[in-house]
Amino acid sequence: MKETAVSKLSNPVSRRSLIKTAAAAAIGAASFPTVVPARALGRGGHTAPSNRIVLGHIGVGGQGTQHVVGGPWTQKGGMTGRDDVQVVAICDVNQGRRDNARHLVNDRYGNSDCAVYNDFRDLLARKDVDAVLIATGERWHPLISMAAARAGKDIYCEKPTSVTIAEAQALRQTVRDYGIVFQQGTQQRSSYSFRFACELVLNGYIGQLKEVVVGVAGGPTYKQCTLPSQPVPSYLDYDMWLGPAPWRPYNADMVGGWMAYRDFSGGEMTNWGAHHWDMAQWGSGNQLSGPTLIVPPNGKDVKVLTYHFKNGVTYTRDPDRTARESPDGNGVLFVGTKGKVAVWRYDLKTWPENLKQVKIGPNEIHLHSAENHHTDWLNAIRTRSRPGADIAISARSITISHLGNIAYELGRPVHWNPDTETFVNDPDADRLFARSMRSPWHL
Amino acid sequence: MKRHYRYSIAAGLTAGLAAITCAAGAQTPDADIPQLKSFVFQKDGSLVDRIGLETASARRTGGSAKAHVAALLASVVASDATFDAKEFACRQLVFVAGPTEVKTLVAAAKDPALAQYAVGVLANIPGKAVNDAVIAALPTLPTDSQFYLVKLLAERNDARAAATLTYFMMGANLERASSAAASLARISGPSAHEVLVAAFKASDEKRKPGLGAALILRAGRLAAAGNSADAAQLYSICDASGLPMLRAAALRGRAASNPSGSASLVLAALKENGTPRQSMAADILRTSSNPTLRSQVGAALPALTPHTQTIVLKALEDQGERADWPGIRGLASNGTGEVKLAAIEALGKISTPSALPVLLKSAASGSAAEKLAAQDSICRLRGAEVDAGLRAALLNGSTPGAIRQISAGLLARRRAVSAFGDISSLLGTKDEKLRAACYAALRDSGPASLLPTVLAHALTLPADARDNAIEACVEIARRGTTEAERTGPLLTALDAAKQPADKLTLLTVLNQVGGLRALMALKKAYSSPTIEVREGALALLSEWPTEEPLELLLKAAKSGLTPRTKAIGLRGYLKMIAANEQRAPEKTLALLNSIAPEVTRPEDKRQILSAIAKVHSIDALRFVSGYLKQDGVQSEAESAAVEIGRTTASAFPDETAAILGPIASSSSDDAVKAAASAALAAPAKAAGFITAWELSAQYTRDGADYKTLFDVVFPPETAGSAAGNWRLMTPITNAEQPWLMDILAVYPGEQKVAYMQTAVNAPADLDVTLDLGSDDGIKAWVNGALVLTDNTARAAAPGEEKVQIHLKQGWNTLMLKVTQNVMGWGACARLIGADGNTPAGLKYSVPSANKAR
Repeated sequence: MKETAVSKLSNPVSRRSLIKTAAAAAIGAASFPTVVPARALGRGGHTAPSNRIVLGHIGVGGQGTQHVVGGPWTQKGGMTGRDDVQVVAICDVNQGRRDNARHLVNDRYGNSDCAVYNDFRDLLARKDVDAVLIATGERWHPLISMAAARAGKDIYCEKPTSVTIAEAQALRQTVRDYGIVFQQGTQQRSSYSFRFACELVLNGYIGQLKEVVVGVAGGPTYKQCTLPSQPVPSYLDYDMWLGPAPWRPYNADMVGGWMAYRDFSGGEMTNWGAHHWDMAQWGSGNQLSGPTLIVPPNGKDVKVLTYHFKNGVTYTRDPDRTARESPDGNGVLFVGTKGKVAVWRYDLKTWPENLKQVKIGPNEIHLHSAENHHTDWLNAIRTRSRPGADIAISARSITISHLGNIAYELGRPVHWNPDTETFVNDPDADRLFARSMRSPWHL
Repeated sequence: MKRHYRYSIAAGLTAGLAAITCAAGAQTPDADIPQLKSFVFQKDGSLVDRIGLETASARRTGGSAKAHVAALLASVVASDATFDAKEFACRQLVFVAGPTEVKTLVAAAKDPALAQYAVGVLANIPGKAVNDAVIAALPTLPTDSQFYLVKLLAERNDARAAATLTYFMMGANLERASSAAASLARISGPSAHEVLVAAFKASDEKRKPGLGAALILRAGRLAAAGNSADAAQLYSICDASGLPMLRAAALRGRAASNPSGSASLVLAALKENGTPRQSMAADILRTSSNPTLRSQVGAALPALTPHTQTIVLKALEDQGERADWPGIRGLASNGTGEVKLAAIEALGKISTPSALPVLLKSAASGSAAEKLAAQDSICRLRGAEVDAGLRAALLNGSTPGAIRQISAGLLARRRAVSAFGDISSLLGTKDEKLRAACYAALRDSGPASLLPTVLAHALTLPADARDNAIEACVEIARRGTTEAERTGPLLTALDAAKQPADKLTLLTVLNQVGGLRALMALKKAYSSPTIEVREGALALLSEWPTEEPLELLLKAAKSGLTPRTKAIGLRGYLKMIAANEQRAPEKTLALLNSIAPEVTRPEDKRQILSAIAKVHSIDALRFVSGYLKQDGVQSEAESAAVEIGRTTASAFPDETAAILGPIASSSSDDAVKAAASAALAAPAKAAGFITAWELSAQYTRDGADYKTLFDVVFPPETAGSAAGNWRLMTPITNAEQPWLMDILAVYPGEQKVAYMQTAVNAPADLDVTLDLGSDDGIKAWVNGALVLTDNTARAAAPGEEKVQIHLKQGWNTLMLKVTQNVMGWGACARLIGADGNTPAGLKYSVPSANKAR
């Protein structure tokens, strides 16, 4: 008979209750070892209830719900389909969404144990929660992640990392300050095709890398929302939805399409850009560095957004070119002196063709390899290691996106110091480095 | 077709600017910005778009143009303009405001709703004027505005903010208290420092985490500025707090500020099993370049708890340093469980070739997981000496057999080209396991140039011991870059071969390698004078992946020289028919009919029934019904009928019931009886969802994903049921989703599209709701008219789409187009009347059945 999630979890024992039991048993035994948290135990195979990582989901819209139960861009079955995780809490400022997610969780587990919260702080206050999966809009990503880090929760946070460069840097510092395992939801880091493409490039199979062409489409995003005011629906806590973003009246189209507005998002530059610039960083060996000069299109000699790096590599944002030169425009094209590699969500193509058959050898560069993005994170929690899309990497990658948006917005080249991660003598650009947050939210 | 992103960003930006400039005509900031005063948020954003561009232009021009636009915008902020206008003006002032606008902005901040915007501007205006204006205004402001502005002062490192921040820090609003503390942490100098420390020490449990976070923030800033003494004081306070997360954060700071003493600190924390400090200690170890720390941890490693050993090993692994740690080798040899495995993995990532003996031992004699991990680690070990060590192990006759075998495989995995000669030299060994390992190694990595050598060895083996050799020859041959390279040595050897067994070995390899020359050789072999070769070739032809040999097999089945040849031909013919489940059902039925009259033996009839059971059509069911009464095949016929009936029961309920009903009531096999009953009952289990569906062929386009395919017109859209290679769908492939018509069960894979069609008979004209779910995108046509389109990616669930449609009296057609992104693929549909129930009297069939009506 097929073993179902329900049959396995019909009578779950919470990790916290077991710890209490263990602690009680230890009274009087001074040498009894400190109780080991769930995240420190277990590795693969069947997982005892006490060893499951206890998880809360914060933000359960489209992508957030996929993380709960599985979907096209998350792992099959989602977190509730895993044997080594117990989802105990859902948080969303939209009542309909959180109730739907609770129903899905309870349906999977065959019980009614899943708790729901409107305010993420209430979920973070739960001592039994080991880790959180954050899938709100990016206006909230840094703040909720930082609060989670201070509360000792390990973090999987959807991309993009932030709305500004300052937020990404603050988040990186906080994650390091508190020793938290952080995985950004840039799941291309856990994809074979992208990893292999980057390994081909880094190991010189296309010669010296000259150029990375990134197929991020969409118009420039520094649009302000001017949609008219509408009554706030009863199911939505609009104040918490806005969070640190500037206050403005509610409008359903704005809430439904927030990615179009700069208060909430960097648009496609940070949406798909969070993935594809990250791949450019990975394959070029620049993942812990950045460009020195960012040049927006000027309608003359510079046709597309171009980044220049110290090592002579350029990145360009040119979806027309990736569509022309690759089977799928929505991907990344690495151009070297001896060949090319195009990679996208489903496959990769190489020039010459036989590069695709290459097996990376023992004396070559092997990049971080993961079975899938969820598993990579959960393994890192158990072994207290760093997963593939650690904050040090994702903060740098999202900075690429933000720098491009700032260059677009200023309409002129921008100089950047990748070592200090600051603009070079550019007060106008400095004005776009950070943003004021709505009280009481702060970095 | 390629996916096109026709929106050129450069062109789009330029065109957008031009269009707005043209629309603006002679409009200027002087004309536009005053109009802003009455602006309220609306869909028409042309005015604010123009002002945005005018501001950007002034910013680029600088000087008086910038100052002028700033003054115009400030005048809006200072006026009785709408909130929306002031908000927008502040956003633009971020780019152009200077000291002149400070007074206006501070005044604007009195409105708490505007304070955030005003502060956003003030934060970017350099100079003391901002601070002074804020200090002067602070007592007059409402609390909410005070909070914004005092935090601004702190960001600007103005110690005058300390008192007000302290007030907020001690207030009842905890979020605001944390925020105020974080601001205090950013103010340099002793007063803010002392206030913060005192407040933390005096704070209760609820306030402590927020204030503690401020201490950590401040300590980090002090350390970065070189003030390690004050930083150390704060870290000590945090460490003494007893709060686990603050203690963990303090550990990093203390270790960083005291490198010489960090080793003992970190080591002590590493021993705190399962605490945040232990995690932090592992992270410090991961990034530390302190040799004392690493050596002390290395020395302590064997005595640590297994969990600690594991996280230490992971930390060292992440550091990526190549080091020869005896402790790790010790754990890889003598550790247990997870630790041993982690040590084996770590050796591969950080160790030197000196780890080879330990890893080889684990690879040969560890648990299954250890063997795999050890082999992976050996494949990662760098250095030519590793290959040399493996070659030595392989060639040395005194090496334990298991290690020699593993060495052969690892040399292949390491692509040690120079070792292939050594490996092939051992193909003649009498050690069967070693020989098999060598063939396997060459199978996995041997170049095509080795094919003649490997073939020669293979043909020296007894005929019944050649399986490994044949596999190796196949894979090596497939590595040839041309057909001549792939099959040339095989054909040459075939010409030279004398023994039937050798010929059959070579034909077997050719059959696996494929290609036109291989097919010709197999066909030629069928005319061999040696019956053994002839029949062997015929059997191999029945395995050919395409249907080219079908005619030859039919001919052999009908007119083979011997009964055995006929039997091989018949079995091959039926096997080839059954192998292609994508063939149209009517074509398969025609192929079976072409041989059925020749088949008289029960065992051959059973093969026909086995093949027909995979043909899901009403004609196939009719075909099978003719066998139900035949002696010797009744059981197989019933099974085939039930298998087909599972699919036909929805679209052809009456005829299916006529054939399956007697089986359900009187079969001698209880399992078949139950299956027949279940097949007949299945449509009712779908609870109102339509289960009578035909599925088209699947469609793809090079480079087009599901999103693009959604709007590509394929034959069913233009020719309906006349095109599409339609086949009946089997309902209820998953008991948990009885409503789902599962396309993935028919067509595995991703980035495709297919169509489903059904026929609905309404007793009268009806207005109903078409309730749909799909995985992924969906279009729907009713009687040829498009009624729904949703290009999406999702899991299927009932009720995802609801469309009002009209059914005419009599037969109506419903066609769905369903795209496949990744994972699941399918759809569900039902019709709901005004009362929320399925309308009475509806009947379902499929369009191809209706054509005959």
